[in-house]
Amino acid sequence: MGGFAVTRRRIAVLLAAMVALSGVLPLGMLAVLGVQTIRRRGEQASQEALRAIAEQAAARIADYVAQQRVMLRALAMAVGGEADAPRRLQDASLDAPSLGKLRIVSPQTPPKDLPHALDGMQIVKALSGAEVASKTYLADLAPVMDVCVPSGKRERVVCATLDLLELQRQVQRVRIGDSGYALAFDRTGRLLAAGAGVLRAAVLTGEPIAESPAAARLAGGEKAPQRLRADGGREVIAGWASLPELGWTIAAEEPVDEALRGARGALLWLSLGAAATLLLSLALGYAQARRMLAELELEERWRTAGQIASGITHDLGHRLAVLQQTKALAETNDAEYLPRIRDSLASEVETLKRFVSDFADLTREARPADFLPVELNAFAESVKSNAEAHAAASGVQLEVARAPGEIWVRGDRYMLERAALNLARNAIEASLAGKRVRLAVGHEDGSAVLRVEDQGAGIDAERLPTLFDSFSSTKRTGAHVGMGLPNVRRIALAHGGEVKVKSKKGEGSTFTLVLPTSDSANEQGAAIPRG
Amino acid sequence: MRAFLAVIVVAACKPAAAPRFTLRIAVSGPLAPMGPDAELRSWTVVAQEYVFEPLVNIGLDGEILPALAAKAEIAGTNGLRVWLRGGAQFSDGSPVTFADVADSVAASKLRATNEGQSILVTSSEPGVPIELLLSRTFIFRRAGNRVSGTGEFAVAEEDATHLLVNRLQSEPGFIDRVRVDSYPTPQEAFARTLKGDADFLVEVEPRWVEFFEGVPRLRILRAPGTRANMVAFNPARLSRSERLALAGALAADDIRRLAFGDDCVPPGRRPGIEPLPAGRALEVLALPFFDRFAFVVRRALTERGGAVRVVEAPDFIATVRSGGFDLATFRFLVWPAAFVWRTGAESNLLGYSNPAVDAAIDARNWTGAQRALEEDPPGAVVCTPPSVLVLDARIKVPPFSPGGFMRSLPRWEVLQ
Repeated sequence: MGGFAVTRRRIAVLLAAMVALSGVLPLGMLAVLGVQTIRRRGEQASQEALRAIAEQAAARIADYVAQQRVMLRALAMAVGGEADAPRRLQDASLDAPSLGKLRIVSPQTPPKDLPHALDGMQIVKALSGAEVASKTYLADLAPVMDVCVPSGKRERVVCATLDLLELQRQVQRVRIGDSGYALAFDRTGRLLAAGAGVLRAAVLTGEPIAESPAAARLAGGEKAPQRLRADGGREVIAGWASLPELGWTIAAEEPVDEALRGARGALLWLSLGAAATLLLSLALGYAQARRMLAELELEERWRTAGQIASGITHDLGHRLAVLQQTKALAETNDAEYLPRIRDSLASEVETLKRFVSDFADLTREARPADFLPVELNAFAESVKSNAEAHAAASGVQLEVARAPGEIWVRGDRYMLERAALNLARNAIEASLAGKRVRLAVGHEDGSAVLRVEDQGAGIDAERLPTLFDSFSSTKRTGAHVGMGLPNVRRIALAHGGEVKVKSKKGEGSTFTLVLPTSDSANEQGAAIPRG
Repeated sequence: MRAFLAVIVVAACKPAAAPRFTLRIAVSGPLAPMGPDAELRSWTVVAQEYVFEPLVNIGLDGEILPALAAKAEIAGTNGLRVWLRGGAQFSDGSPVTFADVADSVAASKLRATNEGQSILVTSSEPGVPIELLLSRTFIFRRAGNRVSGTGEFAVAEEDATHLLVNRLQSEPGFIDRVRVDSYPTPQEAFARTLKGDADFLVEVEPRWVEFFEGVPRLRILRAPGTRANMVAFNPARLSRSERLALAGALAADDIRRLAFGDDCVPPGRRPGIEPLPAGRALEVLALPFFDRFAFVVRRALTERGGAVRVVEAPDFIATVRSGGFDLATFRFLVWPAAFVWRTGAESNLLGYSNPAVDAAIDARNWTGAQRALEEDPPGAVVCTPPSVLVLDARIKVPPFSPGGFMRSLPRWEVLQ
């Protein structure tokens, strides 16, 4: 029953797994879809938030610059035309330090005093009454911009070098999450301001950073990536905004692991939930399968007990009838019947011995740990020698067809011999006197085989599928209770092999005992029984 | 056997020796060869005090502090008697002798007299206190091309771009080596520090400090500054009463804030604000980086604020020395105390002379000297910007010391 318990557990596990998988697979697919959706939505949300931050920063910067220029225009119109304009501009710059150095520019201004980021054409344009502005450039570590505005007086303009340090501060102040930051670039991708302290060196040296190419592309009207690898190798999600008037690009960045922390938390909980559901399904399925199998097993036992009882009743009833007839002969006290009584009793004793022997075989378990090497040619010879007397009594010729060379298997020699003898006896009993039964040893598909071939009447084709089932024998006379062939199959299976049958009506049958081959006779260093 | 095992266990439990710590200082401009010369005019000076020691140092209030001399006392008007530190020796292991002291002080035109246990150092230069001269005179021994000092460090490598000084006797938990790396421009020194190639940046402009905010590996330190932003008055053109009125007019907090912001520290004692008497407009002389200060001063003087003349440094010094100015805005050394205003002192560019100040300085009465200066001011100190440094965050914030942080560097602890 131990073997059956193991099988039952395995079946229970398999059933539970099937049940669980059939439920969990769709759930798993849904979970994967959910995970993908959460991840995509999480990243989209982060990108949108970062873009909003970048746009806010850009808007603040644009406002600031616009305010400075408005202030400059107002100042220029107020004092630019006055005689003491230079001094008044100097005083005004004290109250508005962000306007930087303020000066009057006219055609008489020496070149060294002109705003150096404006070229000659721009100066001419300014003197003709247009407002001009340079690109941003760094002076004393801060971004600045030269702007000239009309003063209201012909060929006299007020120029300022706007100090954009405040913009740098605005960018540096942006904090996103734990370690996110903002960056500002000029149109070439040069870093102008950085919230990340380690990147600020690039503001001074002009060295490009990882984001510089993307910033330059965005300034050129292309699209910038929303996920990229930042300096230091960290992957970041980025939101971008551009300031076309200044030529600046603002990036708001947050490391991916930080930006997606919320989504990842949800994913983790979802995964844990799925795993818990799977485990629960498996546990429930396993418990249910075991319960059902136990019920089936009980039912099967009762059915088996019924079959056995039926077989035993039938067989013992037959034996009992024979013994009653023998008893009746004995009660006549007629000496003439004595030989018949003796033969009848001898026959019945032999039958009952086989009956008991078959049941005894059923109780013996094959234990692989106790298997020993068995050489199949010698084994066949041994079987022949044991069945020889029976064959001779039936007038049947028994012979062994040895395989060339040795063929080794591992097994319980007693049980293998019981199986082989059973097949041999069946073959002998199925043969008419003068016919031949052959025990042939050989190889088949890499396995060792022992074929038992007879030249009997053969077996009906419809009986072949159930031939190895219990109590299916039709030979319920003599010493047959229908347990022989089932026992042969049980032994073969216990040895990792099988038993097969081929039969043709009128031509005889071949039973093949298939066993796994063993590499050598010395595998366990044990004594090698050769037959 | 047990004792042996115990020794093994104790040895195994002993913490591993701390790695040697090298402090990297970023500076700009070529480095001069290390030597005892007080006028090195290069950033080599940042390591000079770790290699060489003076006999004495000067405290914040002008008091004499021990250095190579364990004890010192004033001797007459121009003399200082010193007792050398016991066991004092040079980095080559040789002891410090009277001859070494005499040779070293002679380089500063001072004379040493051996008195057995003590050494008397005298000066023939009038007007400059002897202890001030000695605080700028390093003691050395020259052997061929090699010059040794008595500091805790000795030069290991040097060229125009870098200087490495090693601690002579390693002390766990303290800086073992100081490496000065010179970069072509202050901006590059600044950038390299941000980038992590240097651990220490000295004299950071307040405007630049923001760059270092939020950089975890660095910390920003502020120490009391030693140079004040002041408006100097031409004593030849402005009477004492005018100068007093100007000092009062320029003491307003608005001027300080407008010109230098809130970080700049106003002087402890300020004159009362008095109305400026009517008179001619006063021209304000300024260096290019101080033009804003000059504009603020001019505006504060209202009708008496004249033209602002911005000139480069050589013209500025020549103009001030020649007395061709009314007011001059510049940054002036205010430590050590009032020494600079002694009549005839080299640092006294204005030619200011006040017998009461001279007498107080000669008597080492620094409070009296300061009071005499307030009563007849050579200028108006608007504020003193703090000395801002950026330092590796692993260094325990060092104590302030006269003359800034740097002197105490050998005692800076390295946090593990």
